[in-house]
Amino acid sequence: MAKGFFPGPEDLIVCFLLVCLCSCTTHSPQGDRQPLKDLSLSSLHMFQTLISPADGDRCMMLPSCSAYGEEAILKHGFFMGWIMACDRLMRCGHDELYHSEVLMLGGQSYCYDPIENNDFWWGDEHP
Amino acid sequence: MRNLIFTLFVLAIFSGGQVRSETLCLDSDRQFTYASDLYSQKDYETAQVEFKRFVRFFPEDKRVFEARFTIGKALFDQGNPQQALMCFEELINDEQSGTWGIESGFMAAQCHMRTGNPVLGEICLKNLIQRSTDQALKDRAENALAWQGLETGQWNRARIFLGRISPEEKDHYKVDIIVDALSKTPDIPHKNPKLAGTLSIVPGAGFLYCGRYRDALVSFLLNGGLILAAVESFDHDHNALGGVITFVGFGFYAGNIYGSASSAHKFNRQADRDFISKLKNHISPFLSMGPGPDSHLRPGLALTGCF
Repeated sequence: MAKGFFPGPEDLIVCFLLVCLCSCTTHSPQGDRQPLKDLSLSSLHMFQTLISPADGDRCMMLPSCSAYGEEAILKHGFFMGWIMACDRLMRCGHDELYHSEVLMLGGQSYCYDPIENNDFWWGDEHP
Repeated sequence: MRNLIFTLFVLAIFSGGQVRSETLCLDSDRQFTYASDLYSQKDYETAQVEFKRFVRFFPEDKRVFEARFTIGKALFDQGNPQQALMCFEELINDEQSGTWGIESGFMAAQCHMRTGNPVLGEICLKNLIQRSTDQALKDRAENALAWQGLETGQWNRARIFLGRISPEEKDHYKVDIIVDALSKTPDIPHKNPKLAGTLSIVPGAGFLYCGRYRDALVSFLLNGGLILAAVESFDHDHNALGGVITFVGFGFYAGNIYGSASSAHKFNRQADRDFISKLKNHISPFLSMGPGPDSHLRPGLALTGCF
C-alpha cells in the first residue's frame, strides 16, 4: 500500500491548524463570507495579538508588515493582498530604507512605505 | 499715640492692600497681528484658534476673508488638506470674498493634488480660467495647470498648458526654460517595469535590475529555499507539508515578480521627481501660487512656496 495514502502525524497537525484558523474566521458586516480573506485576516490578527507582543516590536517599516498585509488584503482582496504582503516581507528592512521616506515616531525612526507607494502604478498612464 | 497708631493702621489698609488689576483692550489689529505672528512662527494650531477668534469678534473687519484664508492655509501646512479644502471651498462660494476667493481656488487645486485627486484640482483651475476675464490671472492658472502636469509626470500636458500662457507673461513664468528642460525628459533614466517583471522569473534578478541588491539576495535565497523545501517534501512523501510550503512559496515567488515591477515604477517616479525638483530649484521664485508673506495680494508675484 502506498505510504502517502494514509495521513501521517504532520498532515494531521496541518489539518488541525487549518481547522483552528477556520473556526476563528470573521464575518463581514454585510454577511458575505470570503473564507480565504477571512482566514488570512484572522491569521494576521492572531499574529498581532498573540505572537507580536511576545516577539517584540521589531519591524522597521511603517505601517508594520502585518498591518500592511492586513490593509493590502482589505484593499485588493486575498490574492493580490497575499502577494503584496509577501513582497513587503522580502523588502522589509533592506533596500527600502534607502529609497523611502524616514519618519520619526516616539524617538524611533521608521521607513514609511504605505500601500499607496506600492500600488500607485496600477492603471496609471505613464508618459 | 493712639491716634497715630489708628492713622497708620488705616493708611496700611488703603495703601498696601490695594491691588491694581490690568485691563486688556484687544482691538482687531492686535488680534490679527498676534494670529499672523503665530502663523509665521509655524504654530499652525494656535494660529487657527486666534484667527477664528478674530473672525468671531471682528466680523466687520475687512481682513476677515484673509483670516479665513489663512485658517485654511494653516490647516494645509499642518498636513490636513481635507479640512483645508472645506475652508477654501467656503471662500470660493462666498461672493464677497473677492481676491481671497480666487486665491482659495488656487489653494483648493493644491489640496486636491495633495489628497490624490489631480483631476479635481485641474477642474478648479479650469473654472478659474473660465470665470475670469483677467489675462494675468488666466496665465497664472495655466502656469499652475502646467506645473500640475509636471508634478504628475505628464510632460505633454504640461507643454500644452505652457503654450497657452500669453506672450507677455512667458518670460515671467520662465516658459522657455521649462520647455527647454522638457525636451530633455527622454534622457531621464528609467527602468522598464515589464523587463523587471520578466527578469524576476529568476528570483531576485528583477530587484537586481532595479539596483536593489539586498532585496535581490533575500528574494533569491528565500525563494530558492522554499522551492527546494517543497521539492524535498514531495520527494519524501510529505505531501501536506509540501502543499503548505508550495502555497507559501507561491506567494513569495509572485511577490518577487510584483516587487520587481513595483520597484521599477518607484525608480521611475523618483527619477521624475528628481527632475522636477532640479527644475524647481532652477526657477523656484516663479512657481508660487499663494500670496506672499506680507499678505498683500499680487497674483503671480508671490515668492514663497512651490506648486
